[in-house]
Amino acid sequence: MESRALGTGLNLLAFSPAILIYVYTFPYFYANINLVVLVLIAVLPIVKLLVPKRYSSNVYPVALIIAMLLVIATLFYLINPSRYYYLEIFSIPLALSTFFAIDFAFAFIFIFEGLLSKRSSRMIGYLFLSLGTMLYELSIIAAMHEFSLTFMNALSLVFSLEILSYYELFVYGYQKFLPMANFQIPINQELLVLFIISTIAIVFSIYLRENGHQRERLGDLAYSLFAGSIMGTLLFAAYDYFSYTQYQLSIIGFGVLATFIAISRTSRKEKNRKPKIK
Amino acid sequence: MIRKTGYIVLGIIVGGLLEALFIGYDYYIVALMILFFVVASDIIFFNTGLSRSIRNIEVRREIESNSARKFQMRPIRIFFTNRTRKTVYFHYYDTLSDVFNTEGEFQGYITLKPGEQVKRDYSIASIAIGKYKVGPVIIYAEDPMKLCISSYTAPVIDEMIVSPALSDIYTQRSERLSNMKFTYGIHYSQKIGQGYNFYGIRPYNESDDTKYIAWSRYGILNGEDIYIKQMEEERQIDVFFVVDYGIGMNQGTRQKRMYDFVIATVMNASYSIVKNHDGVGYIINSSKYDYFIPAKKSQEPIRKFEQTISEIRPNGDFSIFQTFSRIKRDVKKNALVFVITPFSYPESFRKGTRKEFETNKKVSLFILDPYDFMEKRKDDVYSALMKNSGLKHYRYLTALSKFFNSIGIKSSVSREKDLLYRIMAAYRYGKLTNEGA
Repeated sequence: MESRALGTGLNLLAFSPAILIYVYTFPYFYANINLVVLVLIAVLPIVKLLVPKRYSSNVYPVALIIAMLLVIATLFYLINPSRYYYLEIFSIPLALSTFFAIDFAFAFIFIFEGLLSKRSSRMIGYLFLSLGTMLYELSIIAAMHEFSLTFMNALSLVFSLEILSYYELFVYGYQKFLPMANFQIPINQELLVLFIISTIAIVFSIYLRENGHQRERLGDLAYSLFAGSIMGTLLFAAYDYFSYTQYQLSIIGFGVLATFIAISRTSRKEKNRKPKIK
Repeated sequence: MIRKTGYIVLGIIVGGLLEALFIGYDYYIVALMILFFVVASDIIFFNTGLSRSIRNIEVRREIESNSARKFQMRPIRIFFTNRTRKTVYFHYYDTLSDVFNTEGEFQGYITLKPGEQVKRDYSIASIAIGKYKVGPVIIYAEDPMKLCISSYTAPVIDEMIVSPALSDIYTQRSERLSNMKFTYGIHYSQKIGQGYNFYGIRPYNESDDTKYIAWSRYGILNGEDIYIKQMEEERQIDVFFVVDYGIGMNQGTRQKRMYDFVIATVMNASYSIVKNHDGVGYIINSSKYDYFIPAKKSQEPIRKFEQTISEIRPNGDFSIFQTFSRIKRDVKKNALVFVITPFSYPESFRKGTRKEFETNKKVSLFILDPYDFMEKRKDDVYSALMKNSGLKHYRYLTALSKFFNSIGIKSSVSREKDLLYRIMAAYRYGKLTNEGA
């Protein structure tokens, strides 16, 4: 990487869809978020950045242990509040606002860590983790706009549709009630543009992180991009074509499984010849 | 070979894809599908292309000489030839022991066109004696996303035999006056009795042989007194160095290793002894090695010792009982025997009877304190711990030394700075008291 600033800039571009979704959804959820929980969790990557380097790897494990202890304290309190009344102070409020706070806090951690990551693979991982975390919130907002529903009604609708979708998948083998398949998201156009920018930024990021061996690597990467784009588009076309049969998930499943088989078959470790001493 | 990171990235993408499918957000689905196939294609292309191509790289190594002295640079050349029809790019490194200091391109990055050959030069210098492998050459390549890695071990291995540095065996050089400091004034040992050179006369005893009567001095004092001629002969002694070459000797830091130091000290002592017209012989002993080099009054056994020691490294266990039985069996002549060991893996000496320690030779035991070979750091806690454990070990070695002294084996705990002095003092004492003669 030529400079740290360039790397962070590319990460910022790659993370632009995630940041947009975060900024767009947060005001809608603000009233339904437990801000204390959000801040307590979201501050972790900043604490990790500020503590001396030798302790930074312990921040998340320590936070996880504290969280587990709090969960145990909450369970004890809920089982027998009269006996464990003193645990009330440590019990986590089991409310929707807490879960949304955890969701947003995790999305913040993924975005923050992703922006600072130096490796392309790590950055891609964090990007899709952050996007995946906020997809549910995005669908709630889409439902609010689509049917002019209140927040709680939209939440119930999306939740019910998702449960129905899972039920259908496991009982009948296909999905009919996909919440966002028919909803119009208000930031659809912006997201489309940002997804394209993100893809370009990811490619540049991989290319520039190759420490001076770019020329040779670019050829191989171009093949992968070309082949990947064609295969991805073809599979999406198949997914779109077969959507009326409601077997689109099976089509994608076969595609992904076939690719995994191809990867595992070509990834066999070949044995080296035993070297002889001259 | 796909790395764990590769599986994690693919797993995250598939997880995201599943979530997107359940929610039904088309843009996200298409973005994830394209990304999944880009990553998958990258892995598959790498596995079927570059990963296989690097196995057809021909590697050849040229070393000017397989033997060297410690700290002596030896140039090495590695040739890489591309036998494929594709351009290949890969990282390489030559596998070297940590005793080697390197200069030049022993590792790097190469791009090779079809049929092209490139040469990489580097030099190595060992900082310890022994036989070490040079190679194999490891070639590895990564995909552009660094999700896969493939390595190929080119089967080219050479060996480097490293003998002690000339600076370590300084007594070899005869022009240095300081080399004589230990043997000054003890160029021969005398044994008074029958011999070739006239030494003096003494009064006659009844047990004396009449043929040695000094008739020229008969009755010199009172007319009746008889004297006996005393002759002297110069006796040369043999010194046997018994070196523990078990794994316990392989301790120390990268800069300072115990076996290396002991061998250099033994060789220095040997050259001094040989220059004093005495013979030196060696026993290199452990459960893996059993070398016996007979004593001679020349530099030949020292060279043999150097050659032997250059081709091995400390290995196996050391047993003092076995060593003593070896001394009893092989050292025929009455000789001075110097046993050098750190007693890293102690035996139960109490079980041994006195008979097992009897060798009928004048054995001196030099127990080496490993404290000087421990890593020194500025960290207060570490240095306090090291000092404490070092002191504890020293007490144990002192107790061992007392035990050996009590059963009639001269023993002392030696450190890096005084091992040579102790050996030479024992030699000087043996020479003056005719112990080994």
